[in-house]
Amino acid sequence: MRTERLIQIGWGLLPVGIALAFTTIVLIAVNAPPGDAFGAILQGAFGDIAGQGILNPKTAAVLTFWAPLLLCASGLLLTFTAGLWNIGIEGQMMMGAVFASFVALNLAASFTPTDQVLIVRATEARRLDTEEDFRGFPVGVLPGTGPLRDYDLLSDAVEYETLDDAIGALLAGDVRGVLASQSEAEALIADNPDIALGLDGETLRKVSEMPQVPLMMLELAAAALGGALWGALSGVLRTHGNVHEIFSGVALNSLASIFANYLIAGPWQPPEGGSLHSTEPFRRVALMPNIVLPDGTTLDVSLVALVMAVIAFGLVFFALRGTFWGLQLKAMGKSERSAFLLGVPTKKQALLAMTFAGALAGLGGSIRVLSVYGSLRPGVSGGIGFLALLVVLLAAVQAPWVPLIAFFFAAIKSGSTRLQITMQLHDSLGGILQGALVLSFILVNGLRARLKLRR
Amino acid sequence: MKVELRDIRKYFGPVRANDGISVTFEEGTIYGLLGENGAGKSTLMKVLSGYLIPDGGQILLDGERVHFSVPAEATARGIGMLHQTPMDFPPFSVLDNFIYGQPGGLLPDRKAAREQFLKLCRRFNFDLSPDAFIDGLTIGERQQMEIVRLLSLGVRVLILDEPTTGISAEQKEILFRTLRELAHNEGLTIIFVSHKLEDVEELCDEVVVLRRGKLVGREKMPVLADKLVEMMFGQVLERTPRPPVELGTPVLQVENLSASTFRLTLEPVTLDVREGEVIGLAGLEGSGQALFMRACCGLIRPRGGKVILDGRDMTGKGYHEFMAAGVAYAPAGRLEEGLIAGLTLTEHFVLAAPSHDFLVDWEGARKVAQSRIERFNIVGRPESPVETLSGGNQQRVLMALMPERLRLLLLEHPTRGLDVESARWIWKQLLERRSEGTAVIFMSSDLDEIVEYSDRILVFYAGRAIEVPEPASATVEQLGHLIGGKGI
Repeated sequence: MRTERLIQIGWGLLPVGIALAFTTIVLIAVNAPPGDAFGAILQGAFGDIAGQGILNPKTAAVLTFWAPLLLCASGLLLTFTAGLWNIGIEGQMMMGAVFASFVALNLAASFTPTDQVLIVRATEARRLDTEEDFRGFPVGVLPGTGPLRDYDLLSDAVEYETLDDAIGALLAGDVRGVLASQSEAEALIADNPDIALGLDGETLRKVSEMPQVPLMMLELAAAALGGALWGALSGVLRTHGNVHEIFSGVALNSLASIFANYLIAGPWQPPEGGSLHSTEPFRRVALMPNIVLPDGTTLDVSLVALVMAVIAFGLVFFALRGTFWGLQLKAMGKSERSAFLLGVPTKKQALLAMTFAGALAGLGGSIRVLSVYGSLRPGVSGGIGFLALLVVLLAAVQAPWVPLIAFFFAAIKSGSTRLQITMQLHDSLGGILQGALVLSFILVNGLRARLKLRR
Repeated sequence: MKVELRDIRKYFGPVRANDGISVTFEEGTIYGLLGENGAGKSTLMKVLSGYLIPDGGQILLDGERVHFSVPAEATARGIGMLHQTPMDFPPFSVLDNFIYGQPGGLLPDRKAAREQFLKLCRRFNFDLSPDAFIDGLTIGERQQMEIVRLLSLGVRVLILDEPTTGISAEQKEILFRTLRELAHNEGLTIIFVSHKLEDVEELCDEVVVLRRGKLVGREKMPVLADKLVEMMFGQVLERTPRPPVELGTPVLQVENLSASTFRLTLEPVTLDVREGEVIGLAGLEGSGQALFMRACCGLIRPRGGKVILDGRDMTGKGYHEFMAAGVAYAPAGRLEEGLIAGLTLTEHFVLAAPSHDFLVDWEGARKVAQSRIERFNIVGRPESPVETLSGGNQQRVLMALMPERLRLLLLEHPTRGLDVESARWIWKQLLERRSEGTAVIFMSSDLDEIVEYSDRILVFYAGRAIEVPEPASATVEQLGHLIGGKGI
């Protein structure tokens, strides 16, 4: 019994060995010392655990990659169990990112024009034409004007008793602007040629930001909705249109990517002009807050993302193991025809599985825009959906292995970026390692099945 | 070729499928290999034809010891097996299938192959077109194609696994004639695996009987049928008399129901079925019986006509609505359509339960499964994957999965591939249901079964159905004529 278990473990480790051997050969072929390269990957993935602890900037990067990967993989567990090849996962992630971005761009804050205008020195008036120029101004105000954070562009206030005092301070260079009502400003400017109108009430809008918690809820709900719609579309095409989900998935992936690119280059381009690289950065309130360590270090990983991924995986695990729905999915996956004859509403359940998978992928997409990039960019899904397909295949659709394998993949991915820095090797080496791993896993399993058959 | 098997052993886990079988097959003889389900016939033949590697024992061909690791090696040594389900490639043409497996390299000589194929067909009176596609052929025609293919490969030992299942009387006649010629004139060794005693009696020169993985008898024909049954089962089984049942109200009323697939059109059928009535559907495979049954329960959409269930018009409704109304359908392909390979018995019972909660109580489900297993005499455990069960036990599981109270039960080949005892058991269950008022419609290619159990009989021929006028006195011969299209 004991040796049997050892043999089992041996079979499990064999693909890892083959993949490492293959990667070593590739490294030798490009004249890179394999030991150093693997060391760099490890270093890149885990950093200085001994010195900085388990949660350090390097592991934070791994976790940030791991969370959306686990979300997608959890969704794929549902669809693979139901016998569906949800190749469209990447597009579902993209649509989640797009929907979350919509909320972040449009609902995070609302703006109202004010009757106040900003007076500046005449010499500066011409230069002040972009919003960024006004951020962080020390501005002179009268008592009772209210907290300046309501104004979108202004932050630092200095109070003066009268308007004349404030103008004096402006001309002396103590402040760079003075806030005044429209009529007062017009009168002052008419009298004094040294000052001019800096910003009118339209531009100097008042802002009201949405509270962070409901905003985050809305963003996540939108992301889940976006992914779910894209997944459901693939599902409907399969159940009612006789289009295999692989084909619709490939098409919908393309469409999602094109749609996002259109938004970035078109309607959602930043006001200063389209850069094609990203939309304008989201307001801070719209972003997932990063984890701050007790010593004050901010890590580039969000607790929201991690909690979401862990809960999603837990729910999927439980749904597959303990619920009637999970059993129906399993039955469908093994034989759709038999399941139908046993009374399983196969179309409905296929649709549900696709929808849920899409929703989870959408949430994964939201992490990419709300935590990693802070804006919507082309290719924001970063191939994580496709990687999740590999994760679930490598786990042979066995849920317990998924978080571990996802973490392993995230570590390789994150660690291999260091190869470029320290060894001038391209970070696609990580991809080679991942690919070799999946291939050798499938190979070893095939070999095992064959040997079993012989015996 | 003389085939000698010595002490063949093959175990599947704790199951001893072949437990030290030694037997010799001489050339020029047709052997009947008999045994109930799970006796080890198929395993033994798969070992001989290279599909399975034995755990122990030797195979000798003309005295020379051989070892096969793949079927192609066995074929190369002259051993060919005709499987119960033909192992061909349906999307391709007959000629393509004929060429596969032939030595011939990258560019096969299609013209020569076609000539060889036609020559062989003419010799055995097979009416096969090389350009026809496999999916348009009957099982019998596919068998003929396979025989021709194996012969062209120079096979000297021909193994046939249940070859008379699903083929017409005419095709059977041609098959038997061919086999006799091959054995008696050409000296081939023929091993005929079957449950059907009448076929074995008609065709074979000798019988070899297996029971529970062991050789229990070997006799020169003719042998009394009772004696063969005794060898197979250890005792002679009695026919159970059918209890009379009073017919109740109409359950199913079918009015001018028609349906069509791309291959076959079912002409309008009108039929009333009452509580407790058993309707047998006879006909060659693919004559419209399956189409009719499927149209009766919403599995395919009828093209015209009406399906009325307990007075409710159910035309055009889906299968799940029929299920909710008390209709159950048991398909022929047990592991393809009825049961789910990879799921345990417990999981099956949970899936098929009439009511369920969101969460599955696995402990309770296990107990339910255990009690069903006991009640239906299933050899298996709650956690056994269903595909590890024998055919007879799978059929029992299928019966156990059906809801308690049913209005109408539709069955495709309820006892196909089962041994006599299992088939009896299945019918005992069905007759019990009948006495509870369930109407039963079943199709079968076993005419004895149709005659024995049906209150009324519908014969299908090329998409047309006629009712046999006096079912009580109908005989197998009579039905045989009707099935062949005489009298319709």
